[in-house]
Amino acid sequence: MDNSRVHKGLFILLLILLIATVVIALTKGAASIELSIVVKTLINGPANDTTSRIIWQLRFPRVLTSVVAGAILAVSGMVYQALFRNPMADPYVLGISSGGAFGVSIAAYFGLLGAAGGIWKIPIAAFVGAFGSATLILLLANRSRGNQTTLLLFGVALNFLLSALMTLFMFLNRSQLQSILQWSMGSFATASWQKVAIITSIAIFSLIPILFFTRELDILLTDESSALSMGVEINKVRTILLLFTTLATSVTVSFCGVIGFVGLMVPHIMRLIVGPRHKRLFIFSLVGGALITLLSDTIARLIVAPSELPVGIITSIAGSPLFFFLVFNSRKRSSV
Amino acid sequence: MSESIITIKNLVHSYHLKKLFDNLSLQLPKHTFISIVGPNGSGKTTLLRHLIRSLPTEKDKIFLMDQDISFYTQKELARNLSYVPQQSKLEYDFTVYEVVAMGRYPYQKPLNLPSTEDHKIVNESLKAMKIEHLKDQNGTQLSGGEFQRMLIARALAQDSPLILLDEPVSHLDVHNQKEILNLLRNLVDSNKTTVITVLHDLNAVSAFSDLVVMMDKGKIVAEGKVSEVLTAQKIEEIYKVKVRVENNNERPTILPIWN
Amino acid sequence: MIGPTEDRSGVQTHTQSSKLFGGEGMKNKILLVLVTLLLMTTTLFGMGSNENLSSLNKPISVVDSRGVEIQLEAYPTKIVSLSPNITETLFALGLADKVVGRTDYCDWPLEALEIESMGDLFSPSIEKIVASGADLVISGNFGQALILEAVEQGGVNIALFDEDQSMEGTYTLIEKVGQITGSSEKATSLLNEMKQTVDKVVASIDEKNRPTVYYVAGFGEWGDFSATGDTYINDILNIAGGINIASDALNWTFQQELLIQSDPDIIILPPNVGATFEQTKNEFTSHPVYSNLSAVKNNKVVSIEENILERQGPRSAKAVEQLASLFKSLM
Repeated sequence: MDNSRVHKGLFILLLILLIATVVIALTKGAASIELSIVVKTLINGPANDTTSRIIWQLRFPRVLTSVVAGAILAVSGMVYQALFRNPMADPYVLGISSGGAFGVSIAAYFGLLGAAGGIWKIPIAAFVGAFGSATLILLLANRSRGNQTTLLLFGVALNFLLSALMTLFMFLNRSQLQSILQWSMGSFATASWQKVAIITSIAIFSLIPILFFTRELDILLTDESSALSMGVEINKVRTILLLFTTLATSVTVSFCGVIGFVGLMVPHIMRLIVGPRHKRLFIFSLVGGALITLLSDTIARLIVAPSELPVGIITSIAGSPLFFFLVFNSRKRSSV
Repeated sequence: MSESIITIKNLVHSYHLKKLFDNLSLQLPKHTFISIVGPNGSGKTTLLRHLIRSLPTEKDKIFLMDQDISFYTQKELARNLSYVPQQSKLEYDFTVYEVVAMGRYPYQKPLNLPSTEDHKIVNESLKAMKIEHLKDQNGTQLSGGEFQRMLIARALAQDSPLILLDEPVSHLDVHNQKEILNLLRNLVDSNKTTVITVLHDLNAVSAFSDLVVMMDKGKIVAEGKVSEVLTAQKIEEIYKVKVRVENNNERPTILPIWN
Repeated sequence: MIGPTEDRSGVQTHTQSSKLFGGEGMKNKILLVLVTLLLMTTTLFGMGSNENLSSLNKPISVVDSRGVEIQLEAYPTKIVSLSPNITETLFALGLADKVVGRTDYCDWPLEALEIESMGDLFSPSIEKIVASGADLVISGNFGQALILEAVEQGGVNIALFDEDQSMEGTYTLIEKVGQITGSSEKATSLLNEMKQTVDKVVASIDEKNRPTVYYVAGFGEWGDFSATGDTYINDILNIAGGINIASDALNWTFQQELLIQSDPDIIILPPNVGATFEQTKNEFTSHPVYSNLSAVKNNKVVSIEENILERQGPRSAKAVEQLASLFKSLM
């Protein structure tokens, strides 16, 4: 099987790229610090001087957060696309993104977020909104006994509703409108080791189980009757997978805001390169998502330094051409 | 162990406040080629869906191999019964081998690699459906006949004593129809598998079936050998079409009178 | 100052016409009314559109910040201000009795609070503005351009004065407001006062001991924002003798890394909306990242009334003065 050797090579390449990007990201920043000093600081471990604090307290957690967040978003997107049998699905279809932003805007309106947003207040408000919305949708869909399309439509409706409500509360709360808007555009700037610990644990807890369901994900891509008759407990599998990915994505949104493109496009890009089998797609989406997100965040904080661009803009601008290129070339292929 | 593969007792099915099945009962023997016929809307697909447990069913209504299907786990059910749907599309670039290999799911544990046994059965299924030469082909690029064979091969890979098919050849040309129905016939004759298939072409039914079940408006209106069920009178009564039946060797030829 | 003229042209014409045509006959009366209406309508249309007037050479002409030449028959007697800094400027120019409308945010001087508010900064009531009978509506922010257009539709003169984000821009602003309201003399003396104050400050700056400063526009979970180089506050900070560490950045965004690396001497922290300075300072100083800053450790996190710092207007020189003395006291 020639392909599998190519795929192995490709994976190693991606992994190397990821590690290289981590290293580069640690050495570059708005505060220009000489490479040798960066290396020394890393080797010596966290200390109390300015340079050490920049590298250890700011850059390192930020780099790690973007890596983990990217992995979560890409794998969640992969799962959602299979569960909904819909290539346009991304982890936000069940209202996680609009729910998170809504949670923040309504908490801000009622003055619950404190003067500076408090370290945990915003993430908690966002998480309640995000996870709450998704759960609401799932319960509604369950009661309505609808199929996947029904679920998606509920999600679309909720997204509209929550976005409108969020806009309303932002309008009523003009003084914080800019802050909320900025937050919703996604950022890794508020990373910390505590957050890294939380998001990494959630990632491990939520993503590893998905490895156990790669066969089911493959089979779920066929129709319902076929999947059932092949022995897949569709409802159980869907519930478990949705639960895990929704949890992980909600945590990501509550720490990092809404970062688009990764969940939708990375699984597609990887599918075009390594094919649809989820056993392979999982690991490639994971690494691909991590790489694209880290790259984007690094560019976002370097390109107009000392200012910063929202990371979501970079992921979209960088990723879309790549996606176009791949789709265009894939049309020419005749067989796998 | 009885000779029945499927026993249905007093099955009820309601749909939008209307009753489709009202105490439907049926007993089907093993190792036979059984065709289910009837006009559109007579309940054939619904019946199949009950059998694969795609529709909620009460206990004590449907028995597979003498066991209430409510008590099978999903994988156990899949090991005993496989299904080829009426319509299925492949939207992703799986190879033919990969698609057929999905049929081994009921025998596999998560994270385990496919076993030698799995590979053997998949290859045998490909061979049985005469698509071995296509195994590395992109499944989305098959002809209609090849695609159907792939789906049946996948069902074969489940290694089940019963295969259910919902109109497997309706959209194929006559060559492919003959090939596939012959392959199914061979399965019954050699493997001692039981085949239950919904078919529209009454002549195909006549040529291949051991047993015919005729349905109309959710009721079983006839059950038995081909020559018993496919009579001009019954066909006219159920299909509202006049036909001329030419009897040869208990496998009549049915000629619809078009004008 | 030229005396107030209400647009009585319609009424006067009517009176003249009746003398021309004699007072009798229904036909004549109807004709008179029609002619009057025609003339009033023409004048009303004429009032609403500056283009029509440009050929008429009105006595007062000022080019506003949009580059539009505003021509008026006479100096305004009823002015609505849509921006706090414009309100302050109008009051400082002694035009208090001419101001008939303000926004919710126009809170200085205290007398301004007695004036009826037209609403907030982003969606004031156009109807109310027009109903106030104002003959000039002034905005101090390009962000209100659409509101001004809507007001213009209602037939009222508009002007937008939003100049350079600098002290020079403030001077230009006051000058222009003076021009269009016919208080150029008062404006000149106010400007002289302000320039004197600023000159005094600049002269007293110890060039060798200028503090590095950072203005906190936003911090913590929302992200870091500061008065970047393109802002007005940046200019004030510099004139007052500070070295703004965010002056190379643009668009209010600033990266935490740089804040840590630059470690400014003084941090200016305006209280957050709905909180006191103490509360905001508490949140800032107890945050794990900021708590290590020298300014925090040396208790040089201070505040100055946000409004005088942000509003380009008559109090800007005072802002410079206050900041300069604050810097001196801390260094």
